[in-house]
Amino acid sequence: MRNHSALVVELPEFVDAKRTRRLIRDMKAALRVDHVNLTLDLSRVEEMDSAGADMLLQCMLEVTKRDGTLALAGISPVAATILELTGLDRVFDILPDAPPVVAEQPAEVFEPAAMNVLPGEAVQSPAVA
Amino acid sequence: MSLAAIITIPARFQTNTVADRVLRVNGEGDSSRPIPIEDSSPLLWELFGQSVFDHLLGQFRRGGVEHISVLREERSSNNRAYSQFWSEWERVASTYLSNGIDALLLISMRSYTELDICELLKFRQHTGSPLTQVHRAQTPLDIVLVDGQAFRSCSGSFRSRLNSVFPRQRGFRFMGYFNPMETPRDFRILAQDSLLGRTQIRPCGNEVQPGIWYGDGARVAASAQIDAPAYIGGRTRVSDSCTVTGASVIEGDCEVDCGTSIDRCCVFPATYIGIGLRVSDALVAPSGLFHLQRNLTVNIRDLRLLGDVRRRHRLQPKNLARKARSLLSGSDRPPVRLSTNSSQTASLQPARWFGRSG
Repeated sequence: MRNHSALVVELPEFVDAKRTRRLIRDMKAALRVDHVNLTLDLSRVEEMDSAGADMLLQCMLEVTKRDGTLALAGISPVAATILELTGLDRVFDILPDAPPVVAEQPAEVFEPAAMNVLPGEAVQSPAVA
Repeated sequence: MSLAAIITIPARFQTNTVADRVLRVNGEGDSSRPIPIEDSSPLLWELFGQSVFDHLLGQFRRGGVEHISVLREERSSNNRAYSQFWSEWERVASTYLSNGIDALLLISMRSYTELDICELLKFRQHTGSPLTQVHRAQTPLDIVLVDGQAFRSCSGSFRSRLNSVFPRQRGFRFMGYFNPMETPRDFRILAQDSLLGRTQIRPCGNEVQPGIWYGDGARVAASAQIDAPAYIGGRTRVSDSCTVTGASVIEGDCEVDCGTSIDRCCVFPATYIGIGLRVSDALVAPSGLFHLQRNLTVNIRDLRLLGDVRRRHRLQPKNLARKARSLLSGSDRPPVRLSTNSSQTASLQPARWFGRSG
């Protein structure tokens, strides 16, 4: 079996063009981990535009390229409306709440050492190795 | 029989009306500013090219009201403005009465009420009451019919005369169409009911198919699907591969870009809706949308999603929109490979990957 790492990232209140560039930059190093189960927590999102939606897609592409998975969780009403508007509610796996492991640091301050990547408690993938 | 109406509207209303005299007690309104959803009454929102308020005024005229005065009512603690309002109200009412008006309607306009004025006048004639209060079920509405002759025979201010005849009032039972017009959902219900012919408000323009109306200059692409009932306002453009369903209303000067679906929506004037979007259960304005299911206002400042049709930015690269329209219109040409950068509309799958361009 292949071990997967679980990673939960809480997105900030504003996910717009200005902030997504930095978010993507910060997450690049983290997303280079193979077989990561990434959950994006959107519970705090109060405003999101097309750049934010594009960032979600880019995360998905990057994660799936490395045999990982991506899900959205705790979606705020505003984020849900934008996802429906852009049709992305049909693209992502959507969870009602983020898994218990939650990054304490805000996503803007994004350091690999501070992330909740838990190799010691890796979730065993049901997929065949 | 000569009939006049004094209509009072809340002080926060800003409107241009077609009334004989519009008396703005507290300053002038700014008719050029788009009306935001949150800050104004649904009575002022546009439906089929006219505000609901103007539709009501038209109904009064067709019902036989010859003279209409609109006063902006002041209910604040500002004593000066309050007394100024009532002075003006007295003056207008006294003027109508002294000019020989047979009956005077006093209306505080807060809801959409399709009053049958003929029936109301017949009721007044039958009862002989100097004052007739309109009731809906057991609840009095803010609509009163005053007998001109009875009031001319009294003395004192108009308000004191009203108070003196109040005990002799009769109640007229209202049975027509009513909408409280307090919330965005109320507006959506009115729009839907009007499309279905349940109200006196009729779409203006040409009924191009049963239940589908186009305003003057509306352009709908051949590949767009419009399901009845629907209203497409004047000079509005609905692009290729769009769908309009669920008794949707798209007001004038709008643009719905290609591949977008509109379902159970009202779209306010001059709204641009971007490419490949799914808009449902919403009131849509250039500044954002109100989601009817979630009872939530979502401000959208991304001109690639929603915007003012007069100000929207063009997508980059410059021919991206043309490529998208070509792709979505079902052309026989080979598939177009679209490339975007991170700032492009997310509904188009980006071909750009981390670290390299697509």
